[in-house]
Amino acid sequence: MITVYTAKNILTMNPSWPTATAIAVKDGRIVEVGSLASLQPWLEQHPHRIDAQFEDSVIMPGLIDPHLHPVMAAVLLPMQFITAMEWHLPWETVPATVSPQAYESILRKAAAEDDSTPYFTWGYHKIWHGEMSRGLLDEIFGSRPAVVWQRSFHEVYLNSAMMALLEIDIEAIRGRHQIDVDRGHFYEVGLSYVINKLNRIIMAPAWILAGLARLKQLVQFGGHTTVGDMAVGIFDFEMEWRLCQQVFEQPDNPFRVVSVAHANGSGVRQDDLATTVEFVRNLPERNTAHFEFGQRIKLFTDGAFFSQLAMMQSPGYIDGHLGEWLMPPEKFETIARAYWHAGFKIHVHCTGDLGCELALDVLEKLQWERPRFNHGYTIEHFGFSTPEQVDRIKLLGGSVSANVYYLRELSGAYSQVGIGVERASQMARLQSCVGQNILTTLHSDFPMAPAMPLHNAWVACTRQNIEGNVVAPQERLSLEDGLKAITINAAKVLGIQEETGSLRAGKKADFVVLDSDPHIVGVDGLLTITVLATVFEGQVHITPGLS
Amino acid sequence: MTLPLTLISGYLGAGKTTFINGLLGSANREHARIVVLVNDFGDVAIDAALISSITTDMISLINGCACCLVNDDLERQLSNLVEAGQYDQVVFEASGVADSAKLLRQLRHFPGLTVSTHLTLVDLSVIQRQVRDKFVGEHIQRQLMFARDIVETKADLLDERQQALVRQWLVLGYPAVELHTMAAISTGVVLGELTGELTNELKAVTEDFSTVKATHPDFKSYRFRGSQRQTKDHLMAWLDKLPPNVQRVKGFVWLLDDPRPHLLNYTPGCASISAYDGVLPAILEDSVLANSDLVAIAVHNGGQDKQLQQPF
Repeated sequence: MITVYTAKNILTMNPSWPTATAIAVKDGRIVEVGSLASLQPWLEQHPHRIDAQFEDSVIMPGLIDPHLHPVMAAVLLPMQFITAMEWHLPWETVPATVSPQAYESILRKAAAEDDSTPYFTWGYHKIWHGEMSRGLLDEIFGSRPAVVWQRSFHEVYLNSAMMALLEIDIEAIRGRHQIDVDRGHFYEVGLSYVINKLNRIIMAPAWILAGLARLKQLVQFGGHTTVGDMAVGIFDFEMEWRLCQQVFEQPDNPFRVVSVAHANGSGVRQDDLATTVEFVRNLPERNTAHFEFGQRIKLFTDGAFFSQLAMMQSPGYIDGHLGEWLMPPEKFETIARAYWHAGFKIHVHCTGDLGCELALDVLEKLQWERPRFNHGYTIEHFGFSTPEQVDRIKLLGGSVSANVYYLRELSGAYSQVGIGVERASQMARLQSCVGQNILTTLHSDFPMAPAMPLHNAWVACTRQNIEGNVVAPQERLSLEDGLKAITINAAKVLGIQEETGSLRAGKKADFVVLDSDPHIVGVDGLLTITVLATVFEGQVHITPGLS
Repeated sequence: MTLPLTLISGYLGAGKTTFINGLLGSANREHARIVVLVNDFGDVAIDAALISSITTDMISLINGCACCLVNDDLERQLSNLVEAGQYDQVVFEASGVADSAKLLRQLRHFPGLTVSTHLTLVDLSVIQRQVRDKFVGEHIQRQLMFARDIVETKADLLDERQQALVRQWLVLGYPAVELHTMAAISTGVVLGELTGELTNELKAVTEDFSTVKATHPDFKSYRFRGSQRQTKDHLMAWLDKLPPNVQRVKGFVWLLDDPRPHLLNYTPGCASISAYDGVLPAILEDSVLANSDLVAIAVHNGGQDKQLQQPF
C-alpha cells in the first residue's frame, strides 16, 4: 500500500528537484516526490491512500544531529532545569530565571513537594542566581538531600543531608583544592571528588534509563529522525550500548542512532592498538535496525571549550593560562594513523585553533603516506580556527561538523575573559567553509547545547549572540546552507546520505513536518517554527504536547 | 598512616617507564606492595607489559569524558586505593601532557595520601627541541617550571660537551630545579642506599621501598634478558615448552629475520609475537644492541619450582 502525503510545500533538499507538494511512501521508503498529478503513473498501478493531515504544513527531510551524547544527556535530563535562558523541553518550557529571588522561589517550591528522594537541579549560574551555599540549601530543603549543579557542569553545591547520604567526611576533605566544605561547594578538581560519590545515584541504570526516555522525547521534539552518538564509551562502552539498545531499538522509536566509538573509551580500548582497531571494525556486526555502527572512530585533540581548555595558537589566552591536550600529540597521531590505514572515517574533536592545527598536520602526513579520497576526516566542534586552516581543510579533503552554539553563548564572554574580541568573534567560521565547498554540518553536542537543529541553523545564519550582537557577520550562512547543514550535509558526515537527509525516490521516508515554510518566514523565522510531527521510515509521530 | 605517592612527570620518550621499571625491579626484592597508576592512550599493553610484569599491580587510568568531569578515573582509583589499604606505595606515571601543577594541587590534600616525591624526567638529548615544539612546547616548559627534581635521561646520546651545555641551559633557565642523573637515583633505590645526591623527598621514598611488607607470596617472577636474536619459531617453541605454572610472559624481543622489534605476549594457550611500532624504552630500542627483555610470572609450585630454560 502506498501512502501519499500532501503538503503546502515540500522542501526536498535535492537541488535537482527542490520543491514538491506530494510524496508517496511504501514500506517506509519514498516511491516518488512530486505532485498528486505527477504521481499518477505510480498510483494508477498500486493500491494507495491519500493522507492529507499535513496538507496545510510544510515537509522537509527529517532533521539530523550528527553529534550528541545520549548517555551524558541521560545523566542530566532527570534533573530539574532552572536556567538563565529559556529551554524548550518536550515536557515543559523552562522559563528564563534571571534573579536570585526567582531562583530561590523555584527551589522552595520544589522543597515543598512531598518527596524525600534526592533533589537535583541543573542550570545554576551565580551571575543570574546569586550566591549559593550549603546553608541556604539546608534552610530550604531541610532533611531532603539536594544538589545544585552549575550550568557548565563543573561545579556543584550539596546540602548537609546530601553530604550525609554520600557519607562525606567533612573534616577529612577540609582544605582540599577547590572544595569549600562549609559552603558545600565542589568545583573543577574538587568536583571529581564528589562526582565519584554522586555517580552511584546519577549513573545508576534506573536513572540513566529515565534520562534516555526523556532524551527520546527531546530528540523527537527537535524534529530529528537521525542522531549520531559521537563517542560511545565515554563512561562504559558495553553499558552504554546495552542501555541505548534497550531504549532506542523499540518499534515505536522515532529516530535511528548512528554510533561512533570513542577510540580511548572504557570498554573500547583493548590490550593494544591493533586489537582495538579490530574490535571497532567488528562493531557493525552488532547493528540492529535503528542502532548502527559504521567504519568510523572518534578521536580527540584538545580540551573542553566550556572550560577554556581549548589549545590556542599564539597569542593564546589573555590571562596566560594554557589549554590541555586530551592525549599527547604523538599518541593522537599514532592512533589516527592506525585507523586511517585501516580505511576508517575519522572524527576528531577539536576546539581550539592549535587543536585544529594538530588534526590537520596529522591529516596531511596521512595523506602523504596513503592518499585517500572521500575519507570523511571530520573536524568536530570547530570552535576556533584560522582562515588558513579552512584552506587546508579544503585541500586535504576534510569535513566540518560545528557546534555553532558556542558563538551564541560564549562569543561575548570569551571576548572579555578569554581571547579577545577579534578571535572570539570568529568562532565557527562557517561561511568560509561553505564558500570553499567544504562539507559542513551543525551539531548540538547535547547536553552541551540544546538539541534544536532549526535554532542551531538560526544561530549559523544570524551569528547573533546572547548579548544581541552579530559577531563576524561575514561568516553568516545563507538560509539554504543553514538548512543543508542540518539535513543532507549531516547525513553525509554520518555516511547515511543514500538512506536519508533529503527527499527523493528510494530514500527512507524520514520527514519533519513544520507549521511554516523556512523560505517564507526567512532566517529570522527559524526560531519560531514549530515542529508539528516527524515521520520516521513512514511512521507518523505527532510532536508530544501538540493537539 | 597515609599512603605515599610518587609522581613521575615527563614527556613521551623521557624514560618514565624505564625509570619506574628500575624502581620496581629493586623494590620487588624487598617485597614492596606497590601499585602503579598509568595514564595511557590507546596502546595500553606496552607500558602495562613492562610495568605489571615486575610489580604487584598496575592500574590504567581511563581517559573517559572529554567535555565534562563526570568520569574522573584518577580520583576514583585513588580513593579506592586509599580505602582498600592494601598497598604501601603508589607510583603515578603522569600523562606526558599532564599539567604537573594541577595534578599536584589535586593530589596534595587528597585524604589519606601524601605526595612523597615528584620527579620530572627529561630526555637530555631532545629537551631543547621539545620546549620549542609547536604543539607541546609550552606544556613541557611548564613541566620544567613546576619541577623540583629533574632526572636527566638519555645523556649518552650526547657527547660530554653537549651534555654540559644542556645541563647549563636547564639550570640557568629553571634555577629552581635540582638535576639528578638516572644512574644515581636508580642505584640509590636499587641498593636501598641513601646517597648524598638524593633529595630528602627521594630519601623518604627509598626508605618506604625498603621497609614495605611482603605480598603475593604465591607468585614468582623471572626475568630474561639477552642480545642474541632468535627466530620467531624458536621463541614459540620455547613458550610451548614452558611448565604449566607459568601464567604470563611479556616483553620485547628482536628476531633474526625481521628488522623490527616485536612484542611477545603469552598466557597459557595463547601466545603471540607481533611487530611493534610504538615507543620503546631506550635500552630496548637500539636494533644494533638488539636487547630482548622478557618477564615471566609463575605460580609457586610447592617448592618444586623448576628453573626455566633460557630463551636467548
